[in-house]
This record gives sequence, structure tokens and C-alpha cells, in this order.
Amino acid sequence: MMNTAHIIVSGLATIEQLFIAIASAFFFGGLFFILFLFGSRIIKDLRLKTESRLQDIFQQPLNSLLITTATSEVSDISYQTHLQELTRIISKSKTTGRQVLINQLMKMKTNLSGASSKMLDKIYISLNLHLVSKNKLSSSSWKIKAQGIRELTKMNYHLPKRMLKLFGQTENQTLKEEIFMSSVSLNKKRPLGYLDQYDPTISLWNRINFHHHLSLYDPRQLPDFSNWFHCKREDIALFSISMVRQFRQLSATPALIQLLSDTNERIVATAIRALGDLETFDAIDNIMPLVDRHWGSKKISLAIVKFMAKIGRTNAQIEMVARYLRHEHYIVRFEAVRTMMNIGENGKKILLLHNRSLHGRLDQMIAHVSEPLLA
Amino acid sequence: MKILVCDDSKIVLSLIQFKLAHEGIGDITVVEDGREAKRLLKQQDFNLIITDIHMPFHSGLEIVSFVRQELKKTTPIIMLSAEGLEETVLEAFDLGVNDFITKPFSPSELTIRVKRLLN
Repeated sequence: MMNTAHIIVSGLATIEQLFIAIASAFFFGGLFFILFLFGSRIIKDLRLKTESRLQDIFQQPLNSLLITTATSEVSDISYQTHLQELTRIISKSKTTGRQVLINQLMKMKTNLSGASSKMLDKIYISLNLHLVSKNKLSSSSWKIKAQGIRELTKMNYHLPKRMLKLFGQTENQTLKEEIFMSSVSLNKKRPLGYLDQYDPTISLWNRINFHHHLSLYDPRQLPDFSNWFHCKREDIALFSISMVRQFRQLSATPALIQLLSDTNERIVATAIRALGDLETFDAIDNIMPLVDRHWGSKKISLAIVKFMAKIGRTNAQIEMVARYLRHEHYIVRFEAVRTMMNIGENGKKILLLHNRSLHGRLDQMIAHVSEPLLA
Repeated sequence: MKILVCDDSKIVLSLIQFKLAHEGIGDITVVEDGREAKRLLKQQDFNLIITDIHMPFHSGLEIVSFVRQELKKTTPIIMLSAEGLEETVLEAFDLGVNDFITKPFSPSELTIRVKRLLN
């Protein structure tokens, strides 16, 4: 009896010890985690303070360089004096100082144009900051490589051709996109020239950036996007067609009409939509034969109806849209109803006649399209 | 001449302040957010306001509306923005902005426009 009690008491002691050990582990683990959080917070704050302090110190000579020397008011001696001042500040805090200055120049570049912007490029080179960015290209981390490409691009520094080739073949998608955008930004005369030499993928993100970049161009300097209509890569061909539409390159109309006989239905559909958006009335004769040829394709049928919504006016054209009221795909029928309702009084009349012959099967679609809140 | 410059970027503020001071144009006050701008506008009269659109607390458009509709002042306002969308520009002019400059901007061009409005 006494023996059993001893075993239970000693067992309890073991459980208590185990519990204390686990609790201590949690306590010290938690304490370590909190200290780590505080420590990293303090380090981050210190880093931010140092960067902010350096930024303030850099700003003064930068202002002088941009405002006075950029307008040729001050001699070359003054330019050199300000540069020496910047070099002196950088040399005190080598790596951080250089990176802060690069970031600062990039921010200023985003906000400034004209002579001041050119001066920023000159400062970047004069202080050998391009070497810092170029060094990043040989880093093992793709993030640092991408940062280096972005810095060089922003400061208008052309990457060496071997680098372009090297990154053009990389497996890393982000690097591929960065190098593509770099090529687009720096190659002012032929922004899409990169596509001829390499085989990049144009992601949606690239498309947005590319469109934004080109929208800053003088429209007369934009490339002729029809040059890439017959590119073997479908995404590039589709992208070029959408760019023609976005930038209203009417000169590309004949090339767009040629695409109507393409075997790829996505390309045909995109070309039809581009022709509609460009309001090319002449293209209607080339679109008409496609109705029967591509009757089974939802994409092309939808594109034709949308094209007619922009171009169609005559009774023959309205009747052509009316054929789609009997299409197998709901979305095509719905778009046909919407088009006929919006095409004018004649369209409405013809739509109602067809609806009667279809025993009111289009009633709900007509009600939907007529509802202003759903328009 | 008192000029109020509002922009959430310290770099832009410093540059504009330096440029205007270099040209000898008035007494320049800079603020980094819309709340501070409103506070100063309530307390003081300015001869010109230069404001960015996107700022913390109150946007540049809100500042314009505050000056024109609440304070009922006709102080010339130049709007600076990276956003050059037609509807934004039209909205700004509708609210009573006198000039609109799209970023990236040329400091020399800004000075010319400031001088024109101050004259």
C-alpha cells in the first residue's frame, strides 16, 4: 500500500517537472520571440532614421545641382564642388549611403522632367552609382538582380547586350519581365525590338506597364504594332492587336483585315474587336463572310455582334445581327439583343418582330437590356 | 508673397521650396499632409497654393473644395499630380483650380506658372 502511494507521488513529481519544463520552454520561447520582435523593430527604426538623415543631407547639394547647374546658371566648378560634397557624404557611410542616394535619385526622376531629369542621370554616372547597380546583376538573388535592372533602367543606363541575352534566357519570370520592360523603356526608337531577338512572355502586368509607358510617348513616335501581328507567339500577336486598338493606329487596318483569315480564333476575334473599336466601316464586307464560316465559335460570334454594335446601321446589317438571336450560346444571343436595342428604332422593330416569331423567348433579355439600372 | 506648398513627398517639397526661394519668389510654407494644410489655411492667408492630389488625411481636391466652398477664397491654386487622366483634370478645374501640372514636371515650368499666377 505504502509502495503504491510512493509510486503515485513520485509519478506526480515527474509530471510536475515535465509541466514546469514545458511551461519554461514556452515562457523563454515567448520571451525570446518578443525580444526578437523588439530588436528587429529597433534595428528597423534605426535604419530608417539613418536613411532619413542621409536623405536630408543629400537633398541640399542635389537641389543646388538640379536647380542651378541644370539651367546652366553656374559654372562647371560649382557642379564639381557639389559632386565632391556628395562623394564625401557617401564615403562616410559607404553601402547605405550609396543605396539611399540611388533611391533618392530614382524618386526624383519619377517627379522631374526636362533638364533636371537629365541632370539626375548625369549625377548617377558621375558618382559611379551605375557600378553599384551593375554589381547587383551578378548577385545570386533574383530580387537583387531585378532591383539592379530597375535602377539602371530608371536612370537611363543601357544594359550591356550580353546581359540582355543572359536575362532573356533566364527561367525566372520576374527577371524576364524586368528585362523586357527595361528594353522597352530604354529603346525609345524601337520599344518592341526586344521581341525580335528574344522570346519573352508578356504577362498582364507587363501589358499594363507597357501601355502606361507608351501612353507617355508622343503618338507619332509609337512603333507600328502591326509588325508583330504574325508573330509565332500568340500572346505577342494578341498584345500587338490590342495596342493597335488602344493607340488607334488606323494605318494598321489593312493588316487587321488580313488577320480575319487567320486560323487562330482568338486572333480573329481580337482583330474583329479592334476593327470595331477603330470604327472601320470598310471592314464590314470582310466581316460578313465570317458569320457562316465561324458560326460555331462563341468568341468570334460575340466579336462580330460587338463589331456590328459599333458599325451596323443598315437593314441588311441589322438582319445579320438578328441571325444571332438564334445562336446556341446564351451570351451571343444576349449581346445580339443588346445591340439591336441600341442600334436605333429600326433595330428595336426588327428585334420585336423576331421575338414574336420566337414566341417571346427573348422577353427576359429585352427586359434586362431595357432596365436602366442594369445597363 | 506667401505660398503654401502641399505634397506628401519630402523630396518634392524640398525641391519646390529651393527652386522658388532661388527665384526669389515669396515666403514659402511647406506641409506634408492635407490636415496640416487645412489647419494653416484656416489660420493664414496665402497668395498662392501649390498642392498634390494624393496626400494623407485630405486629398488635393478636398483642399481645393475647402478653399473655394468653405473659406470662399479666390487664392490661385496650382495642382500637381502624377495622374493626368482627363476626368481628374476636369474635376480639378471644375472645383476651381487655376492650373494643373502633371508629374514628372519641370521646375522651371512650375516657376513660370507660379509667376504668371502671382502677377
